[in-house]
Amino acid sequence: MPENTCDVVTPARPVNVLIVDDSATMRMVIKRVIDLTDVPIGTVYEAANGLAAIKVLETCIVHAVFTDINMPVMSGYDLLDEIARREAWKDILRVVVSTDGSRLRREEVRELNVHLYIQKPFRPEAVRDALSRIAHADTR
Amino acid sequence: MPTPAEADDALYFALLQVCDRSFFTFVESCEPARFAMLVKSASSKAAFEDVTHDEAVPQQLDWLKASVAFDGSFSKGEMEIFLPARLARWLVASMLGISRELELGETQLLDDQTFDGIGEFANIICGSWLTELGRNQAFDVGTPAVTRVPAGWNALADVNNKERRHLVCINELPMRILVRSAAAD
Repeated sequence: MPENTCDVVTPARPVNVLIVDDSATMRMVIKRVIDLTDVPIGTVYEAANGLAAIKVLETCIVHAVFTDINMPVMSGYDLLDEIARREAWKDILRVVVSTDGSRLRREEVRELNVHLYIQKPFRPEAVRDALSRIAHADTR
Repeated sequence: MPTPAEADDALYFALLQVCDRSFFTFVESCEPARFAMLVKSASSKAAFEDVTHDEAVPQQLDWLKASVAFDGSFSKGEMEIFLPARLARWLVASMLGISRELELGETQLLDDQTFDGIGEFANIICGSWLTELGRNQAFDVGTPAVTRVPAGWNALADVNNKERRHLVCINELPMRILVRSAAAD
């Protein structure tokens, strides 16, 4: 997984973010951290599991997904697998936010085109840097 | 397979890291005598200043238990974290960045928020501990369960020889962690 060291560049359009985690507290923490970044944020959507996330993706325009792995109903791994299958979602930035920092898990999700893997506990800078990747993508 | 001492060190390291990064606080290891003193003082009247209660009802320290099952390459079992509800509220407020508002009485945490947040606390500690035990280890962590500990529960009770007990404190409030594990299949 590449380490993200790029600077924040203001993108031309607001970024719509989907946060997927079964803990409402963790969703709130990620949302607060996202709000603190320099990247203009559009709408922040939330989902408590992979299945609920797919429903959001099917009905809303989302530029970045931050997802946990271990969740009831549908895991983050299955969600990422579904995103990877659909052509319409190929440009979505995929970020895993998980307590599981094992190499095996990182390698598993790398095959699903995950751009960044953030291990909990994380520092706010990790989320900021993830969003800055979108900014770079927009200004290319 | 890590030795029990290595597993203990890894857990303490994970605790330090989680409390520092996500809860902006410091956790200290606690000798049994000091832990007993903290349990006693946490039950004193001063510890209830942030809780509205009926004067006619005898005060009793309200403890929560957050448990999470794990299944890894090295071992599988369960981690249980026991902590006063007051400490749980403070930790969750710290995680959300609202501890100051909570201290000033400008906001209150609902039980649902406290339970969800402290379940996530247990989840992060367990995941960080298992990652610390072995980067090449694959593991699954279950959905955390948070309950109120029944009245009369003894925070100082001994454990059996299949359990590892860890006594720590945060902000002069006690927290007890039990790990029950067996070798993985």
